[in-house]
Amino acid sequence: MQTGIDIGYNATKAVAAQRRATFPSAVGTPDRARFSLNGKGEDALVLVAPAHVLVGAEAIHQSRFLHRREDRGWIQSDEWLTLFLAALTELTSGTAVDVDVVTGLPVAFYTDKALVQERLLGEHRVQREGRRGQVLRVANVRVIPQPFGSLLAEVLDDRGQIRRNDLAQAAVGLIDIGGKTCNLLSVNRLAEIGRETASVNVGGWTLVRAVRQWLSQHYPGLDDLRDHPLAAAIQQRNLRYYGEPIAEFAAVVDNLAADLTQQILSEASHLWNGGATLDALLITGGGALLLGDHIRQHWPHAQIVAEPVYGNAVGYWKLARRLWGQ
Amino acid sequence: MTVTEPSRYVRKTVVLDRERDAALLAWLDAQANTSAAIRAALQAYSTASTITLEEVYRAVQDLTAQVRGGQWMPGPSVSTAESNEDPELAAQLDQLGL
Repeated sequence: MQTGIDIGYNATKAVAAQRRATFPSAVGTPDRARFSLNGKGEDALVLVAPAHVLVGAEAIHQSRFLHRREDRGWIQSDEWLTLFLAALTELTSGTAVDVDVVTGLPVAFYTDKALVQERLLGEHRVQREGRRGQVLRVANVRVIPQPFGSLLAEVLDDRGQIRRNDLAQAAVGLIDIGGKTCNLLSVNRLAEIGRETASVNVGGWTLVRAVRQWLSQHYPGLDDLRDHPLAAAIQQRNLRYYGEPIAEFAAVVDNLAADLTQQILSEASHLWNGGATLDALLITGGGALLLGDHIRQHWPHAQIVAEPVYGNAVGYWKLARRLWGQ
Repeated sequence: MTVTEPSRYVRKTVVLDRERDAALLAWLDAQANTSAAIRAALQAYSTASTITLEEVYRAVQDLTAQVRGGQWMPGPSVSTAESNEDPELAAQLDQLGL
């Protein structure tokens, strides 16, 4: 089974031939509601091995103790490997499966790729609640710079063959807005231009934190909202306080988003000499939904990729198909 | 004479190893109703679909018949399909991440 796995600070995305899955990158203690009127939680992502944990949205809502990290050492943690294994169990329920993986690392941390390969390669034993145990043998792993995935999603077909020769030949700027960082990658004829590649410490969570700070000053109590529900409210530009919508919420979010976008634009303009020499500019990542429109106001030829959340994972999967799917 | 009807319920004892079965014990501890959870787990396991050798044999026979009858032909593999890829770009892709 060829897979594309994108483990981000915000969400984990997984793609295989017939399946795709995404869930918040949250791992918590296995505390569960004992009663639910709407049946919600029945399809919760619960692992009983290698550790008994609740993963994803249910962890955010139910776990007493939630693990969510945003540092470079995250890839060495048990939680990171748990997210990887949980993603694979979303793609297959087979009891013995050979797996090929393409995944990505942020541009700034790309030198850690050997560490990622080492953690993922080999045999993993995992069990989902209500299922038989699974043995997942990871035979091949490739780690590429994260934003490359979204370019490959556009350039390659489902067998991993080049379908967009125009884009493959072009000079392309990629703005990948993740949870904590924004990766800027410049690619010419599918080769990374190292001197035009950088990482900016601005991401979707930066906006969430800025909004939280504003809430703490103006709407006490709402600043206790957990990260993911607040991110959803920001995306919808809608938040309620004691049952009433906050009238100025959308405008405040837009102003804060514009300020953060300015930091990305400033770095990208400097890096890409104003962007005039780029044939195409692609905006991707979950943060594209929060900040993408503000970037397009500055660069009209920039486009938000068709599926910004899944973009990288789809590209990883297509590359996996090319490398090992024949 | 008093006739005692057999109890509706049957009690079974299961032994678990604290170390080896730690994950199972943790799972059991987390259940609101342990007996119900064990019943559901056993039910799910015992009714899970199992494929017999006979079914596999029948499936292979069906497939063979379809291929012989021309109902199914494999598509061309990528290696034999005509490729219009720029060799330099193709090499670039194949080396990505190495």
